[in-house]
Amino acid sequence: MEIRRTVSVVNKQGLHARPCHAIVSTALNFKSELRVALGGREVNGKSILELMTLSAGLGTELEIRAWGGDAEGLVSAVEGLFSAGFGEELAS
Amino acid sequence: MQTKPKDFWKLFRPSACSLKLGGNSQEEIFDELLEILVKAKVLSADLADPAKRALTDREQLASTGVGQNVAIPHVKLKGLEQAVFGLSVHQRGVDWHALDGEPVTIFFTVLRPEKPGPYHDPDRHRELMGWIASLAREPDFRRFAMHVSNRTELVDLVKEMSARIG
Repeated sequence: MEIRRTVSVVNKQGLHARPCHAIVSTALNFKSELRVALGGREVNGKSILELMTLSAGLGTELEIRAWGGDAEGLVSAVEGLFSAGFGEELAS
Repeated sequence: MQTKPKDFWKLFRPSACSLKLGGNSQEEIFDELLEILVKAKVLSADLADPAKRALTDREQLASTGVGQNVAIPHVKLKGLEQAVFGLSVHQRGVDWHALDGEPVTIFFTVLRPEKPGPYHDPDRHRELMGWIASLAREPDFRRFAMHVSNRTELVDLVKEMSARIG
């Protein structure tokens, strides 16, 4: 079962190394596959390096896609990270 | 002065690189990385201690080990007018608490100014970090970096690979 959700980057510094680490750290708790898409590009959501190549700044919309038995939980968890701005300073 | 992506490789000077990291702990590695930058005169000696503290603190927040034997220790540093870059190789590999559990053999060190300025654009910095990630994720880059003969060859490798990643 594939789950898709659109998320936005709401923290000022964007999807830099630390948020990418947070996504992967969270995603590794789930068995489902995770991919993150920006425009025509889709990367492995369980790879910090691949996520970093998106260079997604403040205001960017991304689509998170997950496949597998626990896909719903995975997508919710990752969505939560994005909406909390990864615990970082949000745009003023 | 804004470097274009096709010229990002020029930000890495051979003198600011090392092929011979030997430390066995995070502290030893940071000492080595910073010594190289000071010796290369890209970082002033009085900023070495603050840089070490900043790097250590950043590592506490989350490992800068990004997987696949690569780490990108990177921090903001007060007193810098423009960003400083280093690329170093550790032949044996050192534990860096990366999420994939692999030891790190390739270190990209990036120290950047605290605030935006004529020599520092945060958006360009983000683009640069994405470029470093694009480079680091290439298996050929990681493989060849372990086998270059000298630091000039290492930077030449970055230049070649950067043409490949576009």
